Amino acid sequence: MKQVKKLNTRKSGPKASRQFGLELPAEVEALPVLAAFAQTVAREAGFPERSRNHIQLALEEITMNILRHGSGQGSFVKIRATLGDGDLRLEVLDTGRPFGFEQAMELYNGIASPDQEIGGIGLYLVKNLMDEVHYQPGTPEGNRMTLIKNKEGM
Amino acid sequence: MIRQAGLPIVPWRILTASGRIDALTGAETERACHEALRQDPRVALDLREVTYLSSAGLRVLLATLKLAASRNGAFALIAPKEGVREILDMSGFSRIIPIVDDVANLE
Repeated sequence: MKQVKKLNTRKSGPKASRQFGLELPAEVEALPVLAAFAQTVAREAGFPERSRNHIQLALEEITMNILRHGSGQGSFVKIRATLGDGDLRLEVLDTGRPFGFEQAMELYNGIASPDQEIGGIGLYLVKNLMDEVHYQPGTPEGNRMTLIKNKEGM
Repeated sequence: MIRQAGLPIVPWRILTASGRIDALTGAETERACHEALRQDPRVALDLREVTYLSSAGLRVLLATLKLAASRNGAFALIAPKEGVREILDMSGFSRIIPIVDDVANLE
């Protein structure tokens, strides 16, 4: 596995949101690093264990989706976590092929069947685990997937 | 062997998983389950020590369920932790894969 390139933090004021960043190779072997990052920022944001595990799973599912369908070998995925007063915002940036987000989000509807191939389970979980999911392909930073978890009702 | 209504009671082969079942470890779990199904028609996966299940893990469970069905066998899950059970319920998989809370409850 390639080395994780950087882990940095930025805090611009006592009441400002805090930001954490991670850049890691788009490889399945990077999953443990991603898991640790997700748990750390979710803990920093003050989420309880159950929510932290939801955030971790959602982040891993999105990154694995990029790995499978978007970025090729040798590419990197950037993750930016912004800890606001009322939420945690995770942005996952990649420079691979954009994918059909709307169609992919509708692939699976939560009704499992042993008789057919099932696609889109990961995105279905993400949709249910997080409060908001947005996808913006082709931004100056690359394709951007934004996941938001609110603290309210957690 | 105990017989009931003229049919032999086929015992369950129990496999125990631990830690994560995800994209990193899923292949190993799938290999073990499928190998067991090639030897015994009824296989149950003990999830008591599994702490994390991702969609890659769900696909492993589905593939194993399909293999069991194709061999006229059965596949079941034993005692998932709360967080793992939540993912099984959320994904709808707990409606198609039998889940028991104890080995003794396997039918």
